[in-house]
Amino acid sequence: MNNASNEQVQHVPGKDVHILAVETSCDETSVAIVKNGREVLVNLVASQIETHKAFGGVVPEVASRQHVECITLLLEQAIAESGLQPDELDAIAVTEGPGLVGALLVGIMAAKALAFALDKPLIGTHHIAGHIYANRLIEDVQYPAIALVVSGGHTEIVRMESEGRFEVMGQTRDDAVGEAYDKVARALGFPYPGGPHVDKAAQASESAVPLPRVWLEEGSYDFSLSGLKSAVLNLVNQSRMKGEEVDKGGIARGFQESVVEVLVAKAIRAVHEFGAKQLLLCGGVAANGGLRSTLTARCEAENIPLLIPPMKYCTDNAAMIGAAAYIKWIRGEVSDLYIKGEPGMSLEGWSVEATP
Amino acid sequence: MEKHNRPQGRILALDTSSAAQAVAVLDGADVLIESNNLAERNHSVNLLPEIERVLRESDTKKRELKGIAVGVGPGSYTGVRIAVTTAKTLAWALKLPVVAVSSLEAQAASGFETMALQGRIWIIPLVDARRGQAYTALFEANVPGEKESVSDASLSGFSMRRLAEDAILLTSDWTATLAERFKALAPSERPDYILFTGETPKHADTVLAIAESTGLSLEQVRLQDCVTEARWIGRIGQRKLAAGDTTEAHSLLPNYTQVTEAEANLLRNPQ
Ligand SMILES: [Zn+2]
Repeated sequence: MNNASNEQVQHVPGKDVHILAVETSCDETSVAIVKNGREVLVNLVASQIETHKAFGGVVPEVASRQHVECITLLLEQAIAESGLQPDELDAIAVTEGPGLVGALLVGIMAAKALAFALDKPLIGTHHIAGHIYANRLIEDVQYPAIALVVSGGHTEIVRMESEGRFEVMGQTRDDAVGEAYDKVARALGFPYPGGPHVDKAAQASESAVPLPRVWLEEGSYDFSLSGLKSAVLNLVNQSRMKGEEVDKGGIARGFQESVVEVLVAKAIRAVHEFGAKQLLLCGGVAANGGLRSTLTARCEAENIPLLIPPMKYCTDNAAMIGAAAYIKWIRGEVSDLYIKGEPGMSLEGWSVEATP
Repeated sequence: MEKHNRPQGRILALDTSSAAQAVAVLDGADVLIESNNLAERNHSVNLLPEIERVLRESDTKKRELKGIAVGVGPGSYTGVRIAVTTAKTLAWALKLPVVAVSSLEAQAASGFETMALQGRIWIIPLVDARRGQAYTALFEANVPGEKESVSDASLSGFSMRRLAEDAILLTSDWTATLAERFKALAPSERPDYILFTGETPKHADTVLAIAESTGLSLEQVRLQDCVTEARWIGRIGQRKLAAGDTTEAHSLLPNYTQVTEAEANLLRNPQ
């Protein structure tokens, strides 16, 4: 983020702050208006999932084209539904990265143009910070906190010592959880997006095909999912070669149990090691029933307060971007008009500089 | 176009469909400030700061603008989206009319303007689209005697008439088509010059073959390496604005001229 010294930012304690946020990092075009970083006045999401189903995955060029088609319509509708006048907005926030660079650009250009047209500050925002701060749309975050971020593109354990300060404890060394789910789903013959199908099949299955757990080195918070994914593909191929019917349910359950066991164990260990007051689950894979139930049970057993945002704030949405941008806004940390899409943006680098 | 239809007022013109980041402010046909920056290829970074600068330096308030003219391509997909998204958002937020200008038409005019050609001229803009392809079109200009002065030319329609729509074509096929078209005309209707503009170096060998197939001399087939200049986005835009040929901000879209590769594959092999 390019920081701009901006006289437009004057946080007056007690005065409501309205941030309009834009998110176009992947295949959802979303615009939201969030009050004080926690109250969602409006959160519109134009999903392209039906379009990308035909391709069996997100096609970046198709996604970018669709963002251009609906971006100003969503801006207009969001402002109309919020009941605010454009002048009453305090800032324009936008996902700066990570994400698909062409897709990010559409949101960024729209946000820059809007900030310029309305003379409002711009806040380039980290997508994962957005996923984490989706939790604040539900309740206050207690620090230190640990966040488990699981989505189509991300698998991370993040430690937050205080508000807006991020330290990535561990991350995937190859596939993200959502990505692995999609690949396994394809191997098992489920349609895109496959994650929910694998989850369903796993939960419905009586038995689990044994699959390895990948813990990596002692003490590591990293993940590796490609070996597990390959093991699944081998099982499927072996069954096919022998002319046997593929045990979809058993494989799905074996895969899910392996993934969930490692995710949950590492997240819980991080909570204990850092004395976190809360565990925050976030990202699109938070919808996964197996993960939710196992994590909920472990947290209950160990008396760890667990926050999981409702699904509409777990999948990609702009409300979460507005929530994260707020923590920058109250510190006067805003961007200039030179920001661009940052496909590999660092979460730690996006940490706030000051206390408000 | 009638004289009384002359547009009044300032407009912002922009195009990022090719290597140049083109931004200008025009008052009528007068170019108050213009930059066609080739230095940095990162249009997404610099476009808004550059818009801010040209407005400030031409002493133009955002609210004074009477419209926005934007190059909608064809060209680099990402590049075109940068200007189009910016223009549609500005137009919507500032409640300004926006006009879509063919980046190829403006490029053809940019290249033609610098040439002192007289007679009947075919102008063929080229923007490289890789694998032997180019985004291209065909225009015809008639310059009887003295070439008109730029500001008159710009608003009297520049006597540039479109003969073919913007398209992506194999340059070799397109050159052959143009030659056929040339030969099908009565000798009195044939152009005196054929001028290729834009990203000509990459396609020079291919397009120069038209001299042989049409019997024109190499003196009559010209290449003019040029970019799409913001002044021509603005001038063509002013003309369309005066004619009421505006686009609703929400429906302003790039002219990609083709579906995405993924969609094309899907059409060929439905799953
Ligand atoms: Zn996400």
